[in-house]
Amino acid sequence: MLSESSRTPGSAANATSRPAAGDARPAARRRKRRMPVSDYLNMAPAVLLYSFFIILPALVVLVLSFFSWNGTDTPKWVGLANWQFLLADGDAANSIAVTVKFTVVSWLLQTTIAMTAGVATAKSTRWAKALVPLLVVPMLLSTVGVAVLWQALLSPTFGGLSDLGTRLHLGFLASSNWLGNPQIVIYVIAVVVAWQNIPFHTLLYRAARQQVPGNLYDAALVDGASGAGQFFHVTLPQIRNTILTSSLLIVVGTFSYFDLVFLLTGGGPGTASTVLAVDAYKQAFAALNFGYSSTLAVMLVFVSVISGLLLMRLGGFSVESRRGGE
Amino acid sequence: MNSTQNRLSRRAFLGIAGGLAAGVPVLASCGSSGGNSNANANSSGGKSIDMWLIDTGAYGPLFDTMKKYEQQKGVKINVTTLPNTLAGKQKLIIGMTAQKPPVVVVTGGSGNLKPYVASKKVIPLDAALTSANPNWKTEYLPLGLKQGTYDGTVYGIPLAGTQPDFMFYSKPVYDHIGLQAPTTYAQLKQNAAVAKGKGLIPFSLGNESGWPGLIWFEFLATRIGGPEPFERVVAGDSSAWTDPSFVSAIDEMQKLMKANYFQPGFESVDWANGVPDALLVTGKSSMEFMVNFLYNLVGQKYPQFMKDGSLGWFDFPVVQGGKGKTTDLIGNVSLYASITAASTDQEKEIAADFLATVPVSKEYAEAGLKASVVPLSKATGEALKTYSGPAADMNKYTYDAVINATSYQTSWDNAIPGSQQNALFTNLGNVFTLEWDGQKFAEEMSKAGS
Repeated sequence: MLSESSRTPGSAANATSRPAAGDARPAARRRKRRMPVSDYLNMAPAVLLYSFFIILPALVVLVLSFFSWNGTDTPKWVGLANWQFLLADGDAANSIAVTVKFTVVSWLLQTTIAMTAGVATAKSTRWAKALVPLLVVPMLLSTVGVAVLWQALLSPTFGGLSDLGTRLHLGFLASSNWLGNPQIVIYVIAVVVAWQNIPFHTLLYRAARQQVPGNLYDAALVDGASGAGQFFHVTLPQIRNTILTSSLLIVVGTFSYFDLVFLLTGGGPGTASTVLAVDAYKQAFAALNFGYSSTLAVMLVFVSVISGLLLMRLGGFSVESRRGGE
Repeated sequence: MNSTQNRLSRRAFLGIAGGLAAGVPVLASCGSSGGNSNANANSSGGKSIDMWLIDTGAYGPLFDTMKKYEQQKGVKINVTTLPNTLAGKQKLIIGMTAQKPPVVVVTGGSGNLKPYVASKKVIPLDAALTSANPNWKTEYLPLGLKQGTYDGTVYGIPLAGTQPDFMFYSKPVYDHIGLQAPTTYAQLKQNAAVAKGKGLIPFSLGNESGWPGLIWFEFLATRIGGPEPFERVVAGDSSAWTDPSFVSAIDEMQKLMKANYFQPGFESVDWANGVPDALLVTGKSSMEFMVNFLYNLVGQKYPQFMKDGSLGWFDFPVVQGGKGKTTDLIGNVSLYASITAASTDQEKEIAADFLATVPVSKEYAEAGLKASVVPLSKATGEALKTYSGPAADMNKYTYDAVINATSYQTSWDNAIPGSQQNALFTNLGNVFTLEWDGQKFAEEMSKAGS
């Protein structure tokens, strides 16, 4: 079994050579403690934009979560009242449950399909070359376009899927109520979101697979590993960081996802597809309850960040996964 | 490049950047003028005012009539139209909280206008309009003014055509399966059963956005219990939601759902995409409960259907033993124009003159009727006496219904404040998926209102 840590004998040698390198550098290191003005000037536009459009609104939302505001009158300080309400709110609990379901299913769908497709198309075979451009098409469509397209396909009476079901005499397909059935709606949305995002992750996995040194597979072959064996014992450990990156993007992105959910169902039917982001939006702009909406938004960010950090912790997030380095 | 002078420490630099980021919005709000670029022109003496409105397609030729008025009086009214979506309503709220809001703001009246009245952002109109046109109050229909009146004072006047809800039906389908327009709710259900038996969809319905289903709830509740229980809700009594008429209405709706009288998959069909109308016009469904603008819509999209006289309609019938009558109307009463308190005196004068004369004018009434818009003014009644242009039948029917109405409630989502509105749609959604019954709905609504 190949291990992924690189405690090669070489690193011990590096350790002993470091002090020597250190001695050679003191003057340079002293100069590097202060950045020249030009560096700050180069950073300034990005820092200003980020502060103004990301940090500042986030701070405002955090502060607003302690107020009650309907958008027209002046905000009223309510201290922890919104947060206490959050703990008791059944609707918020429902939103969290729906969001968790949505995130888990999305991760499962997107990771399994993207990894399989990515690894399968990593070698430049003829059909891989044909498939990859096709894969890119969903990425090129705007989210609104995707929503309109899928609504037309999934529409119960005149929709494409319904029509197909009628022609193929598949009763269940002809009469299915994809976006109106509260039991399955969030899973249907997960499929549409997966359709849009799998191409991106496929490309990630494809690139990762292509970077795995070939001699590892040769070694595995010599050891008698089958195709599946090579996948589980060589590929998976080697693309570990990509799995982590892709998973991080999926989990954090899906947890705070708004666009397609809002466009496809608006959170309905009832509250069956009301994910946290949609709930926060509706609390602000439909219920005119900006304070509570801010509370939901802060919680959303908090949970997303925690999930992300946990994921990174879980994955060890080591950079040293290469052996033999090619 | 690597200069040893002029070094800022990283910490100091980021501190300054943060300070600038916090300071810029303060600077920005000092000089800007809220939503519109003409505001500064207003205060510098030009005779122009800004008007913001939500576009529901109910204004018809108002803007053409307005242009003539502008030429006559030498004023300019800059109209900003906002879409009738959540985003549009949100823009309106933002506009109203700006330092210089529009001079004239048009809202749904009733519960939509109430917050601005309460926070004194709009002015009482009685005195202002009387100085421009002493007879203005008699020229508007009293039922029309009601939705813009709070505690006896008028804050909004009806600017748009009125749009009550009717039950539309396909005359060819009715003739084909031998049905008559029903006079009681029991007969309506009987008609639906017959249509279902013949493999048709009894009622078209596209309830993804929530308001088409709300129409059913409004009418069933008021036919059973009369308009009074909802008036109590609007007055602020959240326990009024537990009135038995609301519970019965929900139960009745769920009976219709369980009998599959509604279009299949209606919860995920957005009415705006035209599917329910298409079903009606192509003979796949027999009826559609809709706002009277369906007449106009079908006329535009399916002109042959209209030419053949295939579109019929009737009032939602009475429920035997119920308190509601067919003269109890519900619908989009109108859109209400108010004048903001932050405007200058000159701007208020211009706006008051416009609002006291144009919407009640003969010109607007005559032009409106041609576009199947029925303004809530006595001038409309006068114009109808000799009107024989397009949509004469629907125009006359609508006006007569309003004149003879014993009550005319605005669509319920417009009458209640935002937090209850959201709860209403969400809770109705749970009713439509058969997850909640009438009792649970009533309990949740009374919780939301408190």
